[in-house]
Amino acid sequence: MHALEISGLTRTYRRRGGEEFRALRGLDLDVPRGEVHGLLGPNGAGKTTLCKIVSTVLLPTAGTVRVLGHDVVTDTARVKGRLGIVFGGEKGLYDRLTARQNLTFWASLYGLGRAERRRRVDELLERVGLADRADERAGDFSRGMKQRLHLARGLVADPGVLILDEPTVGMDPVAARDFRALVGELRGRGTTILMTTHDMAEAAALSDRVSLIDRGTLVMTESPAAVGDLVSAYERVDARGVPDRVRETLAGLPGVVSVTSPEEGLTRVETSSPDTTLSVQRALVEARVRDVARSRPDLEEVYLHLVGERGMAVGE
Amino acid sequence: MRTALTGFALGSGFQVRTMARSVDTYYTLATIPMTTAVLLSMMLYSGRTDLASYAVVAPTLMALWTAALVFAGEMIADDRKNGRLELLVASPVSPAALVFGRLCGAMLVSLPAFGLAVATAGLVFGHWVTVHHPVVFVLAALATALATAATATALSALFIAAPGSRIVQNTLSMPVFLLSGVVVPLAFLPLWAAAPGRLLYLSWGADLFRDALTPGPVEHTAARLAAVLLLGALALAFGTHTMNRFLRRARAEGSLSRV
Amino acid sequence: MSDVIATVARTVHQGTVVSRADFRAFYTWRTWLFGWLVRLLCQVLFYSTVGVLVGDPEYTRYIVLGAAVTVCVAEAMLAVSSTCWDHHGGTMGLLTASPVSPGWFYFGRSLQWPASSVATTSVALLVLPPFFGVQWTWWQVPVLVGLVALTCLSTYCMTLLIASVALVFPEARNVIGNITSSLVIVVSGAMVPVEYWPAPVQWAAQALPVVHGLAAVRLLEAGAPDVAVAARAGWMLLAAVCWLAAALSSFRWIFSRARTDGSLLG
Repeated sequence: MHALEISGLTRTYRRRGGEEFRALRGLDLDVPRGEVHGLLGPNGAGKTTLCKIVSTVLLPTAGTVRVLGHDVVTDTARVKGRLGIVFGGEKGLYDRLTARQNLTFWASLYGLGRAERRRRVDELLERVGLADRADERAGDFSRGMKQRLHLARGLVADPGVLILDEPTVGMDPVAARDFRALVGELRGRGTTILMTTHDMAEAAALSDRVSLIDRGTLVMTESPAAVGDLVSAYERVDARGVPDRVRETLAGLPGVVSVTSPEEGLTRVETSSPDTTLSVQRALVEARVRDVARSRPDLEEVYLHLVGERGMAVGE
Repeated sequence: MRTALTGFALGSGFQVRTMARSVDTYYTLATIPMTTAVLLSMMLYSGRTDLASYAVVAPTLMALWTAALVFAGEMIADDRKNGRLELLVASPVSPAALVFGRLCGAMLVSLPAFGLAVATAGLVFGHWVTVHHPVVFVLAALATALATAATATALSALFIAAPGSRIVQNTLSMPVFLLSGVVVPLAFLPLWAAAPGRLLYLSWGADLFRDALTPGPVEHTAARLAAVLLLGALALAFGTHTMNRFLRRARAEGSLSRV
Repeated sequence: MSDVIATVARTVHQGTVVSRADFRAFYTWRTWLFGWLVRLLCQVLFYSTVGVLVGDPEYTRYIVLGAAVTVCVAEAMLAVSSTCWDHHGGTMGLLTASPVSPGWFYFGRSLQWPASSVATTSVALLVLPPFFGVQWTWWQVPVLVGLVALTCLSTYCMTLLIASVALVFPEARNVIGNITSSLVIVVSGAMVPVEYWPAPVQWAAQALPVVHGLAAVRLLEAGAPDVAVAARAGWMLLAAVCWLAAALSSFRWIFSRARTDGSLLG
């Protein structure tokens, strides 16, 4: 049995004026127990809708989601008890309560007894590094501290599955690094984690597998290494001061995918194999172009290749 | 003077447009029929139909003062929070005039308020109010609205200069209604309560309004109008002075955009 | 069964933790005493002076009792706003995802207002009426405070149903609260007897807990037999239980509806 079994998941919203909008279109995804699964996609791809359905706050229009074998629609109470959620951003805390009070509040709502509650809250405060600020109001916390408190909140009921929706959005680099260390620690304890992000590096660093989702459908699910292979399938050569005549020659070479000019004076040649890269370099040297560099696109560019150039501009 | 006039015109125009679009404005008006119903039912139940017009005047003045408190409290605070305050201070208009202008615009809320009170009295209770002295009525309305905006400017300056004082914003409604005699004329209150009430422009305005709706002759109209306007002018002078002093200090300390 | 009670108790208790923190952020004892309480006392005087204006001392005593008891209505109605605060704080989605029983949580969530209103209403009722010729004997004081406490809590139960509706229209929370409290004051028999209004309004008014609470206070003042006072208090509690049951179902329904249309989550 997988920790998460999602099949044929569809969700339609009705917008004002009766117009329908499909946020998810028949999405299938299985996440084995203990896996950290990265969910990548641009804004509006359906990541947050997926998280909301898994965390029982939204019902699917069609399809099923099972969390540790329990259906989110018919067996909601069991799912709620086994699931932790962390929504990104600063909201979601009671600003007027202290960090400890916030955690105790949720621990109690999740049914923990008094003694267990105290032990669990102390342990979590220690783990996210807030033990010495435990009795200060959450409203006075910095963004990074709030985010850590959010994570502790999500872990309060010791969930088997943790949903992290854009957990590092707006975090400073130091806080984000600490956060990643915490996720690594959770992985070590066997917690299944579904994490959405649009930060490729974060997904690659933390995930066992990565899924790309776009316009409500799954584009692909691969291990970060496999995505790495996909990355290496593309190579490119950057050169400066390339005469137009040479550019035309390069474009005609077999195996050259594109010849572009991302900035003034720079020519970028994308190739589909190392052999082609070599012949491009040779042609440039023959044309006495000196400023030549060979590079690989990063994960982000592959991602853009796959979902197209819409990038992050699409609003949800 | 020109910067003051420009500020005033810009402010009032802006406020009228904002209010017309804001749902809050209509919400403020929603309780008027209820207030009218409470007060009018009390007059009619006790057989004092002659006092029915009091129950129409009061909700109008209460709406006016409530709007003044709400806008005075939130106008500058909002500008400050959204970073607009610095832009306003940097612009060539007079900030106090701009605020006064906006508050004058806000006073237009009293027109639908009066309409609603009259309609409630007429449609629900079958008691239609007659304006026996239309000229006095219009002059009283204008003077009271101006004085309210002026007083609100003073409050607004006070709230921004001493943020702790905003706590009184919510509590200044009922005490003022009581002491300024919006329903019960000061003549009915004991002297120790009536005396401070006379320092509130609203008490003079309320008396004028009631007299304008009563058949008998209105006495000392000019002097009473002058009292309303004079108290308003004093408040405006205080407000302008306080606001300018605050802005000078804030500029020196660089605390203008601090929330 | 004891499990259910324990869960409810825990949920209400956690609600009160939030409620206490909100209350402390709202008032210091100084602002409560010199701001809020003074404002409410002025409100009672404001209406009572109308009795002076119409020149009827008997009616003035009637008004001062009515205005003092209905102080609790405006204050309990603040629960309509505080129920919606979870919207702005972003905790709504997390509550929906948690195993909490929303109605009981919200019962605890705004309990600061009825608690405060027991104090304000008692002060209003004990301090102001004597100035208008109402005399309380010492043994009436505890009974009066008890009646006030029941009236505040019962009115709060009614408010919760309205608060659940406001959850669907959070931007209208203030107007919903204001209109309801003024409407209740109009028909509750506070300023004019309930019988003044047309028959259908009189019937509807019987559903309002404060109508019975106020009637009980008036009976107590008039020296009516204890049974009569207790009977009115009983009617009030019955009304309160009905309102609370309706509020609990309403919260449950709204939370489950939110899952289908994705509302409440902001």
